[in-house]
Amino acid sequence: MKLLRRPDLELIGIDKGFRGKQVLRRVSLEVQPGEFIAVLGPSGSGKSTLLKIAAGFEQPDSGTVRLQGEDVTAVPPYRRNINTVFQNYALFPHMSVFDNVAYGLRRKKVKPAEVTQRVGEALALVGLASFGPRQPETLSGGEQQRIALARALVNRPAVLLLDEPLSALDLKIRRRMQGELKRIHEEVGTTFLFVTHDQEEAVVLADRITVMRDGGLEQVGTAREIYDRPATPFVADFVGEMNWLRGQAEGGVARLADGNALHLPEGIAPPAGALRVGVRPERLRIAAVGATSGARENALAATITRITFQGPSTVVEARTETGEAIRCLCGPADVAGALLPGSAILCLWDAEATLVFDAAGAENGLTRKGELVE
Amino acid sequence: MKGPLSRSGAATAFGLFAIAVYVFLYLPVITMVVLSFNNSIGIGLPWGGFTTRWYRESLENALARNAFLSSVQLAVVVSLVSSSLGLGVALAFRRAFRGKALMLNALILPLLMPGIVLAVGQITLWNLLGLLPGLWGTALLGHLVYTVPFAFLNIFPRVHRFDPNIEAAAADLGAGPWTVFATILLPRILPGLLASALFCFTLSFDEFTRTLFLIGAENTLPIYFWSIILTDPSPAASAIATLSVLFSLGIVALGLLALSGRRRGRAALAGAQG
Repeated sequence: MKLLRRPDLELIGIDKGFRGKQVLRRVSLEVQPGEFIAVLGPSGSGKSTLLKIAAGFEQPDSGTVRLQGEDVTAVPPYRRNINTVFQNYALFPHMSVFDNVAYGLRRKKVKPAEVTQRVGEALALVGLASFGPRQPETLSGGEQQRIALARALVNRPAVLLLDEPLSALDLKIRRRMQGELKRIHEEVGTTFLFVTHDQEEAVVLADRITVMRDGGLEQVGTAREIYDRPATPFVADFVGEMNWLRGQAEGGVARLADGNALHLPEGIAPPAGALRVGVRPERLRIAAVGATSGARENALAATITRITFQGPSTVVEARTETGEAIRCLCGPADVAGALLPGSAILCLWDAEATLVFDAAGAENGLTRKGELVE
Repeated sequence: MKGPLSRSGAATAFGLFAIAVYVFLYLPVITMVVLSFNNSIGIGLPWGGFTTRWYRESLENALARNAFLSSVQLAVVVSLVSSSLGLGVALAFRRAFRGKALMLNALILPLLMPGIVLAVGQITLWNLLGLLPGLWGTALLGHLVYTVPFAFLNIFPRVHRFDPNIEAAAADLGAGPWTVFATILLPRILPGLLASALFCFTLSFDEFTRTLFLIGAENTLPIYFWSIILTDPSPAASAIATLSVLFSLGIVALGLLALSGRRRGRAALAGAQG
């Protein structure tokens, strides 16, 4: 029997417009207790507005916000048991680190002895136990980030919101903070909802990812689901890289532009008409011309245009006979020997690695990464 | 190789020039201070010997004392009211609204209008409205019209520069609107408020043109000073002026001390802890 759990945070049918522009349309999202969920989308997709509505800084035009089952739609931010880590940290510049972290507890009239103890624990949690007397301006970006985290978590919120928490840090510190965030989440068990435009960060950190576009939800799922089975061409393109090929389906039989049959995953029937066929670069395998493909394998003839050695992997760019640019991410074993620009090759991939969308998806203004590289 | 005008030569020239500017700026005040100790009947030379009797007489003069007290009281009220109004307007200007730039300019424009024009305009208006000239009516209003734009100019940059995210963070941590203002915004804009209060105090304390038109039968120190210069120009006038300058300087020094004390206190705290 499945245990019915009450979600920590429910956003139900949220609509929001600014000056006649619809920023969120009918967005619904449930966040389960203890979950680490990412809201991923490009700038302007409405993800930050969604966060502000959850925190109470914006009111939805319609829809309901529930926090641990309680309707808080009309409750101001200072009466919601929810805390935010702001993008620029927003530490109080005129207070010491200790006073920053103690601020929320003091608003709740927690006794001084308990304040001291809990602030100490929160600072220890983020690994800055001795930083209490410091002033915010003397801290590095990563340290400020941790203090902002301690300042929010010390209040033991039902849900912690993080607004692009790592985007202001440089790459190396960002990587380390990703690990720190994950450790802290595991240690405190609080529900985390974070907003990011960085798909890699979402994949690394989140249990579940919500992909947003133009104010609507495109897909909700685990990183694996979103990467392997994107619901729309937009998601396929936004999370990871994708090779796009043209295809056509007639009477349940799909074909690539060169006329060869296209094998699809078990149980997937192609929509009739023009198709957009997607294959991840790392799912392509390079073989010599004339090699035979497996029974459930697709094959495409192409000519290499460029080879880029990247250390652990090599990127082979090629052009198909029907003029499509493709990228193939190869391991060291795959590119042994005589591959050179100009070589004719055969690109093979498994039926299970094939994604197929109808052509309407193609016209939704995608960034076609595969073709930008030429 | 040195150029035709040697570097040290230019430096000397600029140094002398700067000294000349200082002399030009301070000589009138020094002249007045020196003559306030002159034991003669009129203002000016010849020198009749050193005396402090003009100070004694001025301090014992009830009219002078009352004028001084009126000036101080008026300046305190003007300083508090105009800083409060300036703060209110500065807070209103944080929001984006239609015509904001125009409104901002309209607020600052009166600074460019001649004081006498504004004074005449006001006395005419108050007269039409049946308000009689006096210290706590027309003179107070006239000073406020003069000082509020200055208060705003001292406060607005600090309010404007303050990141609203920091206030949002405080609200997020459970602080209601008033607590956010008192614990987050106010401590950060306090230097601007102090500067505004100080500036408006001295503007009001020294104000003459508008006061002359608006005060009616009462006195402030500048008005009293003007009247004795017209009717009885003795070195006592110089003594009163000297005392008035000392008082103004004292107020400014106090303000600066308060501002730097705050900064030093914070720095010392940070140093001791860090």
